[in-house]
Amino acid sequence: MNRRHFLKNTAGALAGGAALTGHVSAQPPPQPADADALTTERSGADCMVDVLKQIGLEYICANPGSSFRGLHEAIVNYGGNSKPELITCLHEESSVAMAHGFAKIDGKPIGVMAHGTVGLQHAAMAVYNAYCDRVPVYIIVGNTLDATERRPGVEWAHSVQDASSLVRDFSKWDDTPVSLEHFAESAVRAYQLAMTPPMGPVLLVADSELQERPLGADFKLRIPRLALTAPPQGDTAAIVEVARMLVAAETPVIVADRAARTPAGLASLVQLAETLQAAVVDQGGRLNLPSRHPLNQSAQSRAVISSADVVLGLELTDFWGTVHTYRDQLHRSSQSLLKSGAKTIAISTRDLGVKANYQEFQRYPELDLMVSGDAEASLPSLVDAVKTLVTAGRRRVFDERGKKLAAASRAAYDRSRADAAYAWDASPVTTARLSVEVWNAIKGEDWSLVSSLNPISGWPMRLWDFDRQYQFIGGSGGSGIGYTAPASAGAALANRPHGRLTVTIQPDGDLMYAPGILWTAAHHHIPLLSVMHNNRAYHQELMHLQRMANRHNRGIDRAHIGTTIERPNIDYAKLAQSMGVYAEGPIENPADLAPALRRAIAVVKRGEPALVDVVTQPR
Amino acid sequence: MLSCVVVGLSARPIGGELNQPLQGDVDRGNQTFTRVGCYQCHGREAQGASTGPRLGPGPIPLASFTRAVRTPRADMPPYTVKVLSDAELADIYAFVAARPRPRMPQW
Repeated sequence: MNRRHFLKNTAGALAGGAALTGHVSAQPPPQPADADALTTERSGADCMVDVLKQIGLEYICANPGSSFRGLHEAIVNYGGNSKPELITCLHEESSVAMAHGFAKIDGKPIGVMAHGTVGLQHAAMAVYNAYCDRVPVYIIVGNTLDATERRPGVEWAHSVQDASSLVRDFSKWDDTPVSLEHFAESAVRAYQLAMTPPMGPVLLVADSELQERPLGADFKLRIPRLALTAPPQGDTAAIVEVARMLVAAETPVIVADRAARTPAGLASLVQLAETLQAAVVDQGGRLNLPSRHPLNQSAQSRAVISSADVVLGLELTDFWGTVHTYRDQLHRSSQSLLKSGAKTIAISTRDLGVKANYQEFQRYPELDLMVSGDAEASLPSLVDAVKTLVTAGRRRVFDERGKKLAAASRAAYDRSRADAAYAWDASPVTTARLSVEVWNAIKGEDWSLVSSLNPISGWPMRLWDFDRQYQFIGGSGGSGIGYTAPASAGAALANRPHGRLTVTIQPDGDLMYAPGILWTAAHHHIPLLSVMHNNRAYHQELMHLQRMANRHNRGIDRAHIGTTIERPNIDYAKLAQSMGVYAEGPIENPADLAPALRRAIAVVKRGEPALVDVVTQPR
Repeated sequence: MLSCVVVGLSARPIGGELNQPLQGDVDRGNQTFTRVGCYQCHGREAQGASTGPRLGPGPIPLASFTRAVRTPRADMPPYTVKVLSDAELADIYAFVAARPRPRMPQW
């Protein structure tokens, strides 16, 4: 008897508990006697859908694959294609990056389905980005572990002994359940672990036999209760010591990178900074402090760090790099920015999730005080401890310090406005002009900028007024190119029920990794405004080529080889239009940009994606 | 816009080999600025970016400019005379010096 049929006919209890390995006949199946032998009303995948519904996955992003066909079918039929709803992606990297962007807006993971082999191989880079960015992504990979159950040919090529091993170095947790009960328990555990700081991507293998296992009508799967873990706070005594050092400091600087996971985190950091009247440098992993807050000194980070007597780092990616300069010349060298006697403190979950192989943990920072704990969760107790220690005398010192910092912040903003005016009418369009035109077009809306600022010289943070946590979500984490377009679509999907206008400044090279995300946005009516930063190059790499060529005294005449995206130029408007997205461009005259943006925003406000292609300066 | 600018007003000539000031040509400087890749970090109008500061109008004194190009202190790739002649550097200086001062846009 065929194993799957055997299980259907041997009651739910056995179906739920049978292991994948063991006493299974590999004999050819007999010819079915009737239709009942060919069909079943329930399958294991139905139970998996029950689990996914219970843990609250709102969407599942997937490019279809036979190794999870059972689960796919159960989602759209048994589950009614609602919570989770299937989002059709044209590349597994897009699926994961969409989930990455969604989680940074919504705070919760959504699902991804992929083949355990070729799908996960496609997805791997995006998994790495999510891992580096400390973002929860819930990945289910299909596989057929039992060799005797595999169809000849492709299914063998798409099967693997240990599917998750491919990304285990850069994911938080994974499991390969061998029963439906095991699936339920591990599914709940995976969600819990993904959401515990330091957050990260998790994987669950859904074996095809478990998915397609016929179940009796009376089979009921017990799904464990999900309880999210309270994030770890810094040790109480250590937090008091941090407060003491900050209150005693004359020029304290707070540096934040991925500190504010939620609006509460941003509010707590504002409270800490204002209590101390301390300088804050926002490194932009998330929006940690309003961009125009008078204590925001990000525009002069090097100056404030080099004059600090205490530097507090909150969830920094790279503390060492924060307090050093680095010179990338023939002989590499570095220098500390810190003045003599300056003290360094970190509050971070970074060391709680560190792994060995991939080196994203950066150089050892040699701190004076390291507090393991989630910065956002630790901030309220730190604020309380600081308030307890502040005397009237210190308050007067803080107030004077705050006035100077506010003046410096105003001056930096005025400088940025003046700097943005240079080459205002240039063609290609400057990134400053691009940023100003986008700002003018969106500032009256409830907006959310969901792309990294590095490719456009950080202009939005210098010129726009960011004051809500969802208005900026940082970059990719691992700098794996191909993140921006799908992550922006995911962020826009999360912003959609709130009616927010989601904007991305879309680098050209990034879009071309998997441009099919434009189709996904059109198909699922995801309102996203993509403004192309079309500098027609992988410009970071072009600069690296120039550095090498100059270093070797060979000139840069050939630095464009392998680094530029021209001859022919890509017509991004046509590309988008071909996939059902409203699009205009290429725009080379900056005067044409404002009206194009107005037209595109009207489309987005109707609930559809739109793209404006702008030919831009390199940075 | 100026079509050419006399550079080398300081006592130190560009590149250290020439004793007479060089006369830079703005148009040639524009072409060279693009050809040797200055625009990659500083923008096509030398307006500056996160990757390199604004160079003009009102560039730093020529001697400092020359040192910064030939033997940069920070991350900038060094341009020796093998890849950028003194005359070409003079043209570039003329180009950045001739960049127009901006009007403050209304926004």
